[in-house]
Amino acid sequence: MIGLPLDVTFPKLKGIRWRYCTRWDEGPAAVLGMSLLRLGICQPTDWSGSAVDFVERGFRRFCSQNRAVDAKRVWVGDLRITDSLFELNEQERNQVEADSEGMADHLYLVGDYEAAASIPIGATLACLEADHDLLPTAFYEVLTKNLYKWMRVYDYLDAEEHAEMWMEDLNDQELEASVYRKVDMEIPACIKRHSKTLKYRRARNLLREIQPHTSMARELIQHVLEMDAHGQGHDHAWPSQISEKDVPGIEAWLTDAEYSRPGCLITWYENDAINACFDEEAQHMGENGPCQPNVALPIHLDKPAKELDDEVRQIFDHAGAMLRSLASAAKTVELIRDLYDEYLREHRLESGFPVEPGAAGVREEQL
Amino acid sequence: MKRSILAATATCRTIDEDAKRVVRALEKVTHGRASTNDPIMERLKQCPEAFKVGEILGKVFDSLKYVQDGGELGERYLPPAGTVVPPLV
Repeated sequence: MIGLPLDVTFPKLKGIRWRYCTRWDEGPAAVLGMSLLRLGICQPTDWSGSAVDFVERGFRRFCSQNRAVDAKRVWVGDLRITDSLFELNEQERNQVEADSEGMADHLYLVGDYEAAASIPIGATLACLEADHDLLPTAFYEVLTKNLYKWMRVYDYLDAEEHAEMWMEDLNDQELEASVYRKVDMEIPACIKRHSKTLKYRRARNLLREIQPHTSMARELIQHVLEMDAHGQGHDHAWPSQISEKDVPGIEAWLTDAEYSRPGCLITWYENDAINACFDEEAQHMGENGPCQPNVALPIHLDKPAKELDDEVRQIFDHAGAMLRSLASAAKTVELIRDLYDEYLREHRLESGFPVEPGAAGVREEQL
Repeated sequence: MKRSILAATATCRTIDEDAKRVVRALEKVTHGRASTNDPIMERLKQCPEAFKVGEILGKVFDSLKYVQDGGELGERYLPPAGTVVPPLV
């Protein structure tokens, strides 16, 4: 017997909170909540009777004040406060809670990406090259250096590594037909010429000094320098930087985990050789274990109040810088995509034939 | 002027008192004492038998929650807690 489909109905409950958490969740949240209240990130009006809700309200407001909405326009992922470095299903979580002797004495700020944002940068580099010979490499260097602070970036260097590994096993005939050979061939000449010599500091100075003729180039440079300014003083908080002394058991946990999923894919054009290599690698990501998050910062709840406040302040400074920097990066990526769309319109092989991006080329616009 | 200073002082005091009240509530949580304002906890205190019945039922459902034999690991057998299941017609 099969039931008829019915709409799901939600009973209306008055005077009851939206969520009830176990003591397991409430205890650590209360310790963090007190620190956030002292730091002014949470406010007394955030209190609804639940410590988890209290922290969540303060954290949501903090993210909103640091332009999370702008960042969400491009980056598909989340920044969360959690008691575990990896996402656990309900069964795994129950197991962890059953095995633990007491309440968690660590929480983590974790940043992760569900999909890699597509950045087809070829048309942008051509536009910048029209202004100045060094501008494409300088722009690429500063953009990628800053993105690397907050995420794993997949670009032509990763594709080259992947291609080299697979080309070792191919004969001449197979090599001729393979996409791997194209990875090196498709690198724009402007990048090949200067990428080895023009490094971050010089590239940033160059972006500050050059006065581009076109408004598009000026806007691109303005956003990328803005992104750079927000990220100053911050380095990438990879999970592998957390020491065993800091969080016992972390090394074994990380050994079982795979490398982080990339937060973005920088191609020259959608469906190029970089895209093909990424597709091949992406098929096997997470097959041998959970992927490490892109960003992980531990919060030690067992510290005295003042030390805890200092640590929480530093971690929230990092989170704020990340969100603001990614918000500026999102504006840069939107301009890059606009230039690519313009390029597609101008370079259709036959008028009237729409360009059909492959699965990896479909952009995720929503978080 | 004097009145506005007095008003500002009163507001500061209220904010400070609110913050203290929240800190006290959070401290209670860290020591494992649930808020007495929680309506569900209040009802459970008035009727502890209901809690016992719920606990027994919870254990029964926990044993049924996941597929026991032959199914894939982690596959749910019962919907997650809180799901409103429409009745079959």
